[in-house]
Amino acid sequence: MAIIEALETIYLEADATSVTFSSISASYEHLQIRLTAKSDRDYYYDPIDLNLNSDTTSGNYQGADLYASNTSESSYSYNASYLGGIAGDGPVGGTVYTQNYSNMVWDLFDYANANKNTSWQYSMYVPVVEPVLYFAGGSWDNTAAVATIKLEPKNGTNFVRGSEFTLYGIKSS
Amino acid sequence: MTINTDAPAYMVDGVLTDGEAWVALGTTTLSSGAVNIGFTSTTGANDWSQYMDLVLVSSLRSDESADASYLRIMVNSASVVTGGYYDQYMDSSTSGSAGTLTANKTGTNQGFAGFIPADNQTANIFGTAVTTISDINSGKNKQMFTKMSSDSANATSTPAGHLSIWGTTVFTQAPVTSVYVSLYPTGSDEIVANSRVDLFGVLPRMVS
Repeated sequence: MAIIEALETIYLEADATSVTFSSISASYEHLQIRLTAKSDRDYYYDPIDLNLNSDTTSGNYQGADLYASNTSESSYSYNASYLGGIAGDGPVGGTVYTQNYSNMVWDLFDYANANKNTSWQYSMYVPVVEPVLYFAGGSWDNTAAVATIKLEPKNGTNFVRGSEFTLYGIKSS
Repeated sequence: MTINTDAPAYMVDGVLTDGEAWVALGTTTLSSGAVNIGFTSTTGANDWSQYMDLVLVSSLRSDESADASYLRIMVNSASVVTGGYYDQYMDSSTSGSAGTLTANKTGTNQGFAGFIPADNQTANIFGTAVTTISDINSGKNKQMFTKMSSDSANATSTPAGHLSIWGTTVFTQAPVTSVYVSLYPTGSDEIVANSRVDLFGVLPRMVS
């Protein structure tokens, strides 16, 4: 029996407005999403909107970020349903690196425990001329097992072709 | 060095299956000092063309006469590449009991990825680093994260530890076929004996 199992890989062969993992089994201890993605927003980065189990009430989500860009470092928290940011398709400093996609490793802990709101942490890197680096966490005000995860660009229209998302299930034994 | 060149475990009697998504590809534990620790794609499970990501788990110390040494993760060549890398970091460093959080970016010729304890530190203190290299076989420029810690205790100067995260862009669209853990600057300083790096390949979902 696999301890870490690849549950689904979504590779975009064409631009897509969103990506959804659905019918996620509750039989794992933790979930992990690993992605390399880019938005078509005409700006250098774009947050990812998050929707768990079709809960579109932004106030049901929280986040806290450690954030670095160039020589600036900061921390902030928010009561909203988004995650850090990925590379956009717009210029910064006059340059667009078409081949630069953001990478992210996102762990959702004990997502099926009926006594806990689901919480997570992630690392995310926006590789542009003014790079942005996140080490962040968040939570969802709901004790239901996470069965559906929907991601979409917050300001852009699409994740661009070539973006890739894989969902992993992690067991304890 | 131990390298896993077994037949991929996801092929069972000629049938594609989805087994363990993380595959242990190689381990190097130094018995004496070395300028770098390198891994190269070969055959069987160690043919990297089948993996989505690579993960390096490192335990390292250098013999540089300093509190800490720069750690580098280099892709496809152990040598510097002009304009080949770009970094952003966020580093919490200590001096005595005081801490400082700093951030910066560097357009460089090498992949900086953190700090490791050096020769000024008390014996047997090794630093840790976990590095993810994403989507290694795509036509994208390659992106890495490293989360690292470098503890500090010594009698010769003010202790200076580090805890940081580094994002690194490698300006190559070529597949990743080798990776090297080393120090900056290269020269007479080495990664010391008992330093260790483990390499894992991360598979995508292959069966619908």
